[in-house]
Amino acid sequence: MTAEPEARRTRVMLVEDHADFRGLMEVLLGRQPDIELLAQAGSLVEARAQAARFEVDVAVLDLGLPDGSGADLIADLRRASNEVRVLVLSASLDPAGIEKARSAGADEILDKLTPVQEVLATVRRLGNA
Amino acid sequence: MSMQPSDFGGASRRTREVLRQSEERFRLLVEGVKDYAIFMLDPYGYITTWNEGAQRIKGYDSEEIIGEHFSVFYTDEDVERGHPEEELRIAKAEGSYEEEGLRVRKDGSTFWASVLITALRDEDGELRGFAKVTRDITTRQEAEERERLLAQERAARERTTDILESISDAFFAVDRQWRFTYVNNKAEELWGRPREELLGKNLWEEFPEEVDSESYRQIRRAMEEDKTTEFESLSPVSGAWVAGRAYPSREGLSVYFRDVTERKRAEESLGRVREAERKRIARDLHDGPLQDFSYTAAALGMIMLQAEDTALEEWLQGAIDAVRHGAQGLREVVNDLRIDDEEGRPLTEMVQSVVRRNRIMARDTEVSLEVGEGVPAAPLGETGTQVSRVIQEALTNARRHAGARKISVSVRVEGDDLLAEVIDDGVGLGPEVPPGVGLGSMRERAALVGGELEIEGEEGHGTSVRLRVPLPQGTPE
Repeated sequence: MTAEPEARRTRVMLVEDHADFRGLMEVLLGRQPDIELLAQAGSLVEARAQAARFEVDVAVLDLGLPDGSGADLIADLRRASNEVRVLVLSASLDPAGIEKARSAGADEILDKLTPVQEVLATVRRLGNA
Repeated sequence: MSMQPSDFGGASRRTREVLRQSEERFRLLVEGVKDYAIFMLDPYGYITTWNEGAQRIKGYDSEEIIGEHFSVFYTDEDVERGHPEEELRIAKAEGSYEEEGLRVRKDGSTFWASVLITALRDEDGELRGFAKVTRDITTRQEAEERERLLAQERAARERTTDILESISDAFFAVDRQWRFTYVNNKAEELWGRPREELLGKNLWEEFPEEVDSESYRQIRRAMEEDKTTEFESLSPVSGAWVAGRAYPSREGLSVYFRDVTERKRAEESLGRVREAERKRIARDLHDGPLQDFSYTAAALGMIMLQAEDTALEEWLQGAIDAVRHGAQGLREVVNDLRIDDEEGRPLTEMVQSVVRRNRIMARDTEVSLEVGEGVPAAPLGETGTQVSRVIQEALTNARRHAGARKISVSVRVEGDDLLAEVIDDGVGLGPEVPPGVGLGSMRERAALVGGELEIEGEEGHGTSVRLRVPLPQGTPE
C-alpha cells in the first residue's frame, strides 16, 4: 500500500482573532486527514510573520482583525506564494469590507454563519484547485 | 339794520344825521365782512339780514335766504332733535350761545362752524331778535386733525422703529418692486452695509450673490404667492448661515432673519458626535456579540456533526437556527449603524450600495433598482445622503415590517426635482402605521433637504414611499 504523499494534504493557515472561534476551527481542521493546519494567527502582524515562514495552499481569513482588515493581508500572501487560495469568513457581510476583500483578490467569501461542513468543503475545493 | 334807536328825545337834526351816517357805516362794515357770516334773526329764528361773509360761507344770496328759518343751516339730525330752537332758547335765557358744530351749505355740503348767537333786546328788555356770527373753521380743524394724526403716526413709527431696532433679529422691508423701505441696525451689522446705501435700492441688485440661493427662492415665493415662507441657507454675502421668515405685508414684504451659524455648527458637531457614536456602537456589536454568535453557531454545528442521527440532532438544529437568526438580526443592526462619509459620493453609487447591502441582508427578497436618465453623476452632498438614507429606511421597513418579497427601488429626475421611490408587495402600511418604523425620521430627512415624502399603503397591497426633493442648484447633469 502506497501512502498518500504528505504533499497532497491541503496546507492551511488560519487567521482569526476570536480565540474560541479559532480553537473551534483548529479542532475541526485538525480532524480532517487531508488537511494540515500549518499556521495560526490572531492579528495582521502575527499573520505576516507566519506567512513569511510557511508556505500554505489555503488561507482562511477573518476580515475584522484588531490591527486592521484581513483584506490587507491578501496582497502579502500572494506575494509570498502565487498559488495561495484565500477564503474570507465574514461575520458582518458589510458590503464595503466585502468589496475590499474581493478586489484584493479573495477567492471565496463566506458568511461566518455558514454550516461548518460547507466551510470544510470550500477549503477542500480551494486546496484542490 | 332793523334795530332803530327808539328814542332820540330832543336830539338835534344834526345829531340825528351824524347818528344815521354812523349807523350806515356800521352796516356797510358788517355787510363787507368776508370771513364771518354775520346776520340777524327775528325772535322766532327767521333771517332778517345777510352779509357777504354769510353768502360766501353758506352759499345763499340775500334774496333767497332772508325770510327763511335759520334751521336750514343745520343737519337733519340737529333739526330733528330741535337743536336750532334750543340754541335760541339758551341765547334768550343767558344772553348768548356759543358752540362749534357741523353746519350745512346751500349745496348740501357740510362744514365745521364756530357759532356765536347773541340775544338782542331793546331798552325795555323786550327780545327783538338775535345776532348770529358764524365762522368756517373747517380748514383750521382739518389742519389740527392732520397734525394730531401726524403726531400719532410719528409716535407709532418711533415705537415701531424702537421695536425693530431693539430686537436681536435682523429685519428689513421691501416694497413690491423689491426696493428697501427699512433696514434695521442688526441687518446693517450682518451685511456690513449702512442703510443709507440700501434704502430705495433693489434688494436683488444690491445682493446679486443671493440670487438663486434658498433664501432668494423662499423670499420670492412669499411675494409671489402672498404667503409666509421660511428659509435657511448659507449666505454668500456674509458667509454665515442665516435662517428667517418672509411675511407679505401691505407694501411688500417684511423679512426677519438671524445668524444661525453657531447653532448650525453645534448641530454639525452634534451630528459628528452622533455619527462617531453610531460607528462605535456598530464596531462594539460587531467585534463582541456578533463574533460570539458566529462562534456559537459554528460550535453548535460541530457538535451537530457528532450528534447526527441521535435524539439531540433536532434540538441542536433548533438552537443553531436561533443563534443564526439572532446573528442575522444583529448584523442588520450593525450595518444600519455603519454610515460612511457619503456626501462626497455620487447618488447612484450610494443607492447601489444601499440596494446591494439589502440584497445581502435579505436573501429571500428580490430588490430591483432602476436609475433613470438625467440623475446627476456628481455628488449631491446633503441631498444625496438624505435621499439614500430615506431609501435605506424604506427598504428596512419593507423587509422587517412589511415582509415584502419584491421591492423595487427607482431614482429619476423630473424637472428640477429628484424623485426616489421604494415600492414593495408586503402587508402594506395602512394609515395606521405602527410606531417606530422610521416614518418620522424619513419625513425629517426629507424636510432637511426641502423635500416632500408621500407614503401610500393599503393593507395587503404593499406600500409605496415616494420622496421628491429639489436638486441642489448648479448640479451638473
